[in-house]
Amino acid sequence: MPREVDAARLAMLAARLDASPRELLALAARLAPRERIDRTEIDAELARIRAAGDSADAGVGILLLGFASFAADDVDRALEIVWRGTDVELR
Amino acid sequence: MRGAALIVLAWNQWPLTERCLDSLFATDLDAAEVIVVDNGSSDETPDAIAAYASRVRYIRLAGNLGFVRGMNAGIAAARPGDDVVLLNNDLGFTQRDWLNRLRDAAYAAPDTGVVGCRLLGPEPEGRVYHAGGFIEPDALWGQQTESGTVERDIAQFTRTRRVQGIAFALAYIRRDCLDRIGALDPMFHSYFEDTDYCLRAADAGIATVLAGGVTIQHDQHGSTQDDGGFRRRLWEASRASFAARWQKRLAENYRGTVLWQGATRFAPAYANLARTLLRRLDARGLRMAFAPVVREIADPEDYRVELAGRRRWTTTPDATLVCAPAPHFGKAQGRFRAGLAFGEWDRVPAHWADAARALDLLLVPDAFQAEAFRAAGVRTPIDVLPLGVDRDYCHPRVPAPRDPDGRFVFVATIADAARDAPAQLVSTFRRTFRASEPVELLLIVDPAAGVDANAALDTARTGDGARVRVIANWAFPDYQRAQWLAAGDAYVSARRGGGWDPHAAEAIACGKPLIATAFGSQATLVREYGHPVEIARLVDDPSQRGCRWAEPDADSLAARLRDVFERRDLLAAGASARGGAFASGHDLDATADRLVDRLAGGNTLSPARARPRAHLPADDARACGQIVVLGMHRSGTSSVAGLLARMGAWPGDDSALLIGPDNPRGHYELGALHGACLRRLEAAGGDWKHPPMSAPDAAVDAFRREAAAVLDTLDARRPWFVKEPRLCLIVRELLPLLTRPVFVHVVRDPIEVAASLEARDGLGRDEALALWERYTRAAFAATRGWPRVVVDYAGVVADPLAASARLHAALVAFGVEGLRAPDATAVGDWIEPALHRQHAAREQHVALSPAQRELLAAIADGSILAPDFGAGDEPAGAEAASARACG
Repeated sequence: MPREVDAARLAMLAARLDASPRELLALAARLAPRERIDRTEIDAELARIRAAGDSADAGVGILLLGFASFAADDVDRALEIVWRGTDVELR
Repeated sequence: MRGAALIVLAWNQWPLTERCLDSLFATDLDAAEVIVVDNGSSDETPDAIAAYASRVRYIRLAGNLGFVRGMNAGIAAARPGDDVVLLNNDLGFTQRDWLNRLRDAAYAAPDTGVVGCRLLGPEPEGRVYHAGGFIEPDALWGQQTESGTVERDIAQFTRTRRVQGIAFALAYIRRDCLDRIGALDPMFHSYFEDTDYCLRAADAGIATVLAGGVTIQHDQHGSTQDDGGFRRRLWEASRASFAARWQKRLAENYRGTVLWQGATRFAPAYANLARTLLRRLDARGLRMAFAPVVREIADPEDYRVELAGRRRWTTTPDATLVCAPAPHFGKAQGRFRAGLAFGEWDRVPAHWADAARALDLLLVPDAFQAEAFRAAGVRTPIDVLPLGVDRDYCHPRVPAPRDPDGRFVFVATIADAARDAPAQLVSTFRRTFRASEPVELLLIVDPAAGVDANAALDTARTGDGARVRVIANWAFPDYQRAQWLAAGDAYVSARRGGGWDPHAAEAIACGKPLIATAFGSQATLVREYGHPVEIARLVDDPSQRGCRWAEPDADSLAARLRDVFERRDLLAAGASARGGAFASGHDLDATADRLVDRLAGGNTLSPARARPRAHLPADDARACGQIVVLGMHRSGTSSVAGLLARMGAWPGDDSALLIGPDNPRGHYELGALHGACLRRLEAAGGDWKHPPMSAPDAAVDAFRREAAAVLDTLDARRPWFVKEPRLCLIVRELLPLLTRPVFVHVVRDPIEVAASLEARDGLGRDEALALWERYTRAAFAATRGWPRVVVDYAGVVADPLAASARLHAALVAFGVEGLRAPDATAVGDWIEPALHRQHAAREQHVALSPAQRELLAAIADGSILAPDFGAGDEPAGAEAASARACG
């Protein structure tokens, strides 16, 4: 987490959804474009994120990097993930 | 014998010094002396160094004199004639043969003087801190790599190449360079002295090279850490000194400002050109500025791009290159306006053609593109600029994680869902291969392709068939692009569009088979080097009515995929060598050279500044009595060696010389050197009749070790000479061991040589002539720039005394001392004209190939002594100042 106070708040919010802080970040990014969000959508999206495994984790890792260093030097990591069987897709 | 002084500079930080020395002594330090210069350490260094007393010469200075004076003290203490290697004490040596590889690089060309290597930082994943750098005149902010980025180590810059400067954390400096320009300038305390030295060397025509085959760990600034601003003050003081000497000159080296108008992120092909060519043009004397033609955030870590983006011009730029799709050509704003573009179709759209009118010159990568613009009515002059491969980043040794299950991997990139036809590729792939076969398709999908690409892929991936994997290319660093290729076994570019795909040529350079649609910019490439997919039909691009691209034939694609997979072992064999050869012939540096010429074609740039004449070791050196006789077998080398012996040059102890049945009076060949030559050729898989085509490092090192022992015995009695015909092939490997040698090239008419080889060894004439050419070219190439004399065997036989006198005079003129004038009786007794059994008539030269005739003519008119003979473009007939022909 970039700052400790943010980490604590995120952890608290995540706990309410029975999710990890990283899953919450991914969830927020996924749902951000929607105008209205209900609990069903949240649960469905959380299920998708959990099913995505490594790729969701990698995606959140990108969010946590500083500006313009996103994805830096990650070709090795991306390949390792994909050889493990998880596609890293656009959607 | 000459060696190398390894000068380790230490100032406190004993643990670092100890680690450095321990790792250093675990490597091959052939013919080297280690000197530790202690800059007045107050820690345990003075006491602890005693443990190394038998292996280290320790020089303690009274106080901390700084990097420059400390190193200069080491240089002054080195054995006269030794090369020197400057070493920080925070280096860690993990490559056993690092010193010998630096030597190879140092003596690969006569004008090389300074050699650096790749330096890695302490990160566990491996990061390249230095790979040859540059300094720009704007802010004098020296960069340690060509892009200024601290990149992950993906085996980039692993060849030997010329650079503007190297970091003197490790610097191999040849003795003739030191003789020419001296030691480091004490005007600098620390910092900037390395760049200053390299620039001073360049002024003297001495090249600085980066030996990419050597990689050393560098705990950067470990040797000067602590300090509370002390280092910063040193840096600023040195920078001021450097600026006073160089800033104006560096700025004046530019021929003018050239504005690159393009993009550095999307589209990938254009971004690739901006990143790779912009820095090359700047290094070639064009002050490159950059203006994006689309909204983008340029990568702030690419110093070249960032610098170009910061640069401004007060008036219209001298020239501009719009490197972007043609609709951007109207933005061109230079006095000379060039554009570089490529379309996807057999005829570019009308608005592309209209936009081209804004240009003075349109550049396209190939004839297909030129025709596509002309077909649309473009009348602007069009030049073809072949786009080469960045060999520093795209080669067969690029590492990448591979599929742990060992499946054969086809790699494809998708950046445009319509153009790149991913659905067709996937469906064809899946019907070509069963799920049970050890094969898969890896798709690298650019975000520019849009989510539509995912939808298309989803549809295609339903059903049975071999596995397809997808990676979204979320702006992975461009420098790592070859890793996508390295992760696979073949590259597939089965596109509809005919635009230039940089990955196609890069795949070949990486040693991967290329499967591509035989259409557009890839057509010629894939037909010559790859596996072409035939075109089913030309169809309209739905988004550009009236412009056609190609629908790849699915059956042809399936056949190519299957064929490459089935022949995978065969295709993999030799792929590395083929990739290297391809990249040499399709080099992006050649593209940059041509682009500079094209941009200068508008006469809006200043003429290129004349370069200093290339340094020749022969210019400044006075020979030290080491004479090497070179010549093809049966060329009269023994006769000339005998003349040298009669002038007082020492061939070694009689007991060490060989005497053969075909020359009972002796060859003047040392048995130990002869044996070393035999083993050297054999270790590389050849012999004298079948010269090897490669020089394995281990073979070179073993030979140099054996030869060093021979030279050590000879050095007790200068002047001396060695003679061994096989040395023609490998004499370059001896150069680091010789102190200002003179080379005596003995030449003989090749027809006579061939006849003699036929009579003695049963060689056919053509084979013998080919050997003569190989030996002769190799010998003269290796001694380029060094003091050398040519002796014609025919002249020796015709008038031995006169030939001897000329040889003696030439050697004396080069500074060889201790020779006596040849004595008529002794010479007459030695040279027997009856030994000259083969005589060639001029008309027999018709048996020579054109190349052999050219070589013979160059020997006859002396042009073979030109410093660049055989190295490229120097006009034949130029007389080398360093050489004298006699005989």
